[in-house]
Amino acid sequence: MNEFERRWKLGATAARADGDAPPPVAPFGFATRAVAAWQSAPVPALATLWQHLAWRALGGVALALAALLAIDAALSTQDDPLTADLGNTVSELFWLQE
Amino acid sequence: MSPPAFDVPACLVQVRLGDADAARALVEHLYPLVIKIVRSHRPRRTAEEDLAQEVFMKLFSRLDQYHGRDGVPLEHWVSRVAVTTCLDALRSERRRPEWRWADLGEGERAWVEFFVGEEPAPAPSDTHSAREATDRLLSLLAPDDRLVITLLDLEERSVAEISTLTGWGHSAVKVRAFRARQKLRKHALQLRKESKL
Repeated sequence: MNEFERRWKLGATAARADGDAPPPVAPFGFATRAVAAWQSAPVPALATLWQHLAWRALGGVALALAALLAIDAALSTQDDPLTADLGNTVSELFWLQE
Repeated sequence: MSPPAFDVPACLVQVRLGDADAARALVEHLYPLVIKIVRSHRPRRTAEEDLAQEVFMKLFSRLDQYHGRDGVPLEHWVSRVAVTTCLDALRSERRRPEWRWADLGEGERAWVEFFVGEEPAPAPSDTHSAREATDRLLSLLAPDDRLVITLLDLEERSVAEISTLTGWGHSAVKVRAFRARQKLRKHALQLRKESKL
């Protein structure tokens, strides 16, 4: 602990001593005002809820899209032996018919 | 004969059903706890009653999120809501106050001189001025820094408690407190420098 920290701690201790007062009680009417404010507060509209949730939904869709793209990219790099054979078969059939 | 203990679970049930009398009783019960936190952490320009009312509105609107069954006392949950509400209020302050040496009273100046002094000297004895001087210096800090120093040094909370109240990790609390004290020293030095001009 450096000198400033030591002195700051002494100041904090003195400041705490100043604040050692009995816990206050709520001023007259405070509880009534607080409860009235709570009860009169508007319930969040459906549009507000949608706006709040839409970002999460968009995030989820973006993640799913990214995952699909990654899977697609991984698959496209692999050789697919069936595609060539199928292509050959179709072209052979086409030529045989002619 | 002592008054009967406040039955928190029964009161919460009534409040959740929309009982205004139970809600008022809950406010009266929690007021000392809430106002203590609000007084320690409110922005200087915000009235403490306004901020306390905001805390209670948040408490009521989020009451469904509190489940006493997981062992968390209501007071802990309330403290957390009160601290985060105060932190939001501090963050929404457009500008932090700027203090000049001339704004400080004699007692506050003595404390600031003491904080940045290097020669051995006894600490001033005026506790009220100590409170004023520490509050003034803390108001110059960024909200998160102010919060951590108030909780750690003025309220003597443990790192674990602060971590629970704020959601910050233990090492984040320690690092932030270390840096915040460095900034406090810088502000105190800056203030005293003005006295020499």
